[in-house]
Amino acid sequence: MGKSRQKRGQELTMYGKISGETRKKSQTVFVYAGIVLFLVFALFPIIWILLMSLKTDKDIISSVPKIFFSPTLDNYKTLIFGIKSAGSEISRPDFILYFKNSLIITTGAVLTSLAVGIPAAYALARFKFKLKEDIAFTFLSFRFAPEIAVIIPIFTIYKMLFLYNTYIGMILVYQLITLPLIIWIMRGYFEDIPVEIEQAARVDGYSWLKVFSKIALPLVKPGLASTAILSFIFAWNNFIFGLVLGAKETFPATVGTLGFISYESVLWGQMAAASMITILPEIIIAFFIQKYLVSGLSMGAIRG
Amino acid sequence: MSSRKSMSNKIVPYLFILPALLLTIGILYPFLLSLLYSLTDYHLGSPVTKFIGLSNYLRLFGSTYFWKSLGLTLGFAAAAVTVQLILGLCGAMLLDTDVKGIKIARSLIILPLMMPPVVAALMWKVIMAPNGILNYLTGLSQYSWLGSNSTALISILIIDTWIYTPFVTVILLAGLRSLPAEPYEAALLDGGSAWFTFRSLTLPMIKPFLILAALFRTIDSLKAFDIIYATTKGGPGSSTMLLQVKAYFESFRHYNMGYALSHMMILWLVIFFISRFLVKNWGKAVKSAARN
Amino acid sequence: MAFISLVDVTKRYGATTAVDCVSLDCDRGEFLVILGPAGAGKTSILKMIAGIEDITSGEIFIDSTKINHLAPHAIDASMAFETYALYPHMTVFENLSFPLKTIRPKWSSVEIERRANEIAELLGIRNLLDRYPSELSGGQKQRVSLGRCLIKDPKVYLMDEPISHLDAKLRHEMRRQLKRIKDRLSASVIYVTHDYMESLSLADRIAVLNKGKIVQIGTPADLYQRPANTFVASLMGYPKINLVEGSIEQRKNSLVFTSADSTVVFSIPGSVKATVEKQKNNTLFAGIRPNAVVISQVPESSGWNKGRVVLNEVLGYRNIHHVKIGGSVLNVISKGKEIFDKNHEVYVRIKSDRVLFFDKAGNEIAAGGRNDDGY
Repeated sequence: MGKSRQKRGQELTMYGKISGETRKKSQTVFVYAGIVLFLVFALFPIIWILLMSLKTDKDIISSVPKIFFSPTLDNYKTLIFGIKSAGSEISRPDFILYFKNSLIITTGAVLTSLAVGIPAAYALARFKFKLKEDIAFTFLSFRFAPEIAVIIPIFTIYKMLFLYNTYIGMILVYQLITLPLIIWIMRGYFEDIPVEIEQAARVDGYSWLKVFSKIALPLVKPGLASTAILSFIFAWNNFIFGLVLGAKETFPATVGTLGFISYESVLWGQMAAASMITILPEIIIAFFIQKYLVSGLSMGAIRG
Repeated sequence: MSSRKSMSNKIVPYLFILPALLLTIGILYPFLLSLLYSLTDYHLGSPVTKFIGLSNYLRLFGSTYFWKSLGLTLGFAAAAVTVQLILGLCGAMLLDTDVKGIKIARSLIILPLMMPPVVAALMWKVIMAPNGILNYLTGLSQYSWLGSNSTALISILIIDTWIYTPFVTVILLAGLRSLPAEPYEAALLDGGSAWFTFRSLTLPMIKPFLILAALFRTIDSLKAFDIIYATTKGGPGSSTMLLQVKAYFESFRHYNMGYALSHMMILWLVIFFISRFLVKNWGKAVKSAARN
Repeated sequence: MAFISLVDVTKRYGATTAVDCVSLDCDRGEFLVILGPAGAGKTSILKMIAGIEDITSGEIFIDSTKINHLAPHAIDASMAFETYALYPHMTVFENLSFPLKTIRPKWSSVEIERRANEIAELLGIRNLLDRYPSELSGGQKQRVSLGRCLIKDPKVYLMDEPISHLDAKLRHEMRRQLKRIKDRLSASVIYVTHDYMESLSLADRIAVLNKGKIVQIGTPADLYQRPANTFVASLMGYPKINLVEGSIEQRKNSLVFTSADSTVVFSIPGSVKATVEKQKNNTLFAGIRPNAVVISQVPESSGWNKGRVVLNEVLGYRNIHHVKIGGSVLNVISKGKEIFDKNHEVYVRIKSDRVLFFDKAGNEIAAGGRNDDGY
């Protein structure tokens, strides 16, 4: 098992040359150009909408896109405080409610999945029992199923059980998104712990439960953090569950952003501002933990 | 005090897994229900539901709308996965270098992933509007990208690519960075060209990651809904009416739940078989990569 | 019943049998060494006693209690793992004191600290107490692992190759330490190793294990003087015992052993004549220890065999000569002063009263220099 390419002092690139030293200037320019191209394509829409959220509706619909304009926070003010300002006829103060809904539902779903999924992941990693791989596959299969296939019966059931348009109902349904992810990735992290360390703890006099809490859990803490964040993002981004199984009281922010388009008019500025607010928590998270996120996603990939 | 080992071995795993198991059963039940419903004429407005066997499916297979929708779904998925794998690989290779500032680039590239697809779709809806900036940049006047039969699906493809290429890039980048250095050193000594090392070393060794990325992207693009709902809602002229979108309207506009679910069962089968194929190949690719 | 007793214990992993119907006894306070090559099944035996592996069949008793179905924390044993198995997220001090926290009645933190310092002092790791395992060298990790095993006062200590990964000098030192510790321990110790020198110096008794089966159990002297077969004989001693294939012939007035090509010949001592004579028509192996051969420039009497040095290792206090005689190569240990160069012609005399005889299958028939009653 040799050293991976990133660990060597001198890195080799795909191009067969030792980088930094013998890489030709033309190659560097080529790489830079490629990266810039990618970044521009990736970031342009976000920046454009950010700009749009700071424009008045008049500026937005002008036939020649304005790059220079006098920025205004009116859109945000309308959204958050419901202040009607000149040029904006309709206001949607409920957007803050939708944002709150997203927070409650997403956090609730992730916490529930952690509480339920971590022991399950540990059991799958460590214990031998009948139907183990069948159960593991079942958790995984949730990923495969088309959402509508599940939503229709759940819709009926929820209406019967009065779970329609409730936080609990939403948190339960969101388990379809967060639980498979947490179980799958955490199982890998638990399997990474050498068995003998846990065996040593058992010989030292600790029961299964104590070994789990004192040895296994502390050792997977970093993986736990990145997995929780990953599932937070997937849950926050969800649209369809909120659309079908919720109503005005429980719509998440994702559903809320569509509310600015109606047959009469499109509230461009507010929609842009709402979009920005919706992605704000994720940008903050990304900013702080981007290092761990990449390794978290790739851990899942390598582990398969 | 002295617990019996055999007893603790049998009970403890089930205790650990019990909550998750309960949840699973809670979720499996709706799955089974949908299979059942697809065999009925379940209609939201009507109080009586009759078991009608395979009638829904027969109606489905006889409907041109269904075949068009299926074709669009498969075509869209194939195109999306291909484009995103190629672009993703390019991106991963670019990010695998060590030019100055590469770390910042790596963290910026994942930004499109951080936003909900719906929000991204809305952003692009603005950009692709008749008076939007895309037309301004391409010199077209008042062209509706998302509103024209011929370009609607391609526009959706562009949006989908924008959102998910970083995802592919991240997976492939992890794969590239996990490759061992020795083969490349040997190739250097043997004097191979860049293209040669790419084709014979890199490509085979990252095959598992390529297949993994393809697996995720295939499943998700076959299920595409969010982007389409936020932009075209299946139109114009059902040129973007992919299977799951159709099923949504069938059930929540026309209230034909049973009929809608038959669509989903077919989609599920398609996803199942394609995934199984990919997972088998993934397993093979992992083994052969390890051998090399 | 002995203090620790294994009765027909078998361990299977799927289709592989790691431990095959093993029966062992260890008395109270005895230092029992399980000696065998890698993959012999030694670790599996230890883990079954500790309770962390299931027993496929058979029974294990500790202090008259059957422990087959007991959980590890209910079994009064401590273990030092070959892979160290240190807790990565705890300091050395916390690693050492971890086992003490489960003792009831509870120890105070003062008592725990005192005991941990005591063990650390004993193993020379006192200055490492605040470090984490990732900051330790291999030798230091091994000592922490040993410390964690020794810190408790259980009924039995289980040690899995605890010093095998140390460099030669440190291993020597640790062997001395272990001998000193051994004298202070009142508990039984079951110690696993593949190093015969450790087993000879530490063991009260040795159980030789090969491919999951017990080959021989006895005191170090037993195993060295009367190995049950060629496997055990080869295990004990460096360089390995010389095994020469040959047969018994009657020549003139004496019974001799002669190798197949008649190049290694020596007469059979009287003590074993009777037993060995029975093998007249069969192929035998003569087990000649390297220290049972004398080398000389010239034959000092009749009965010396002629050979040629093909290799010599000059080690200072002694030398090892590899002497080719006909089709055989004998390893010979010589005193430091005697050095014969490569390709030198020499004569060797076999000290026939030290020779061990094995039958064709490798089992011991007779050993010279002792009164023997046959099989």
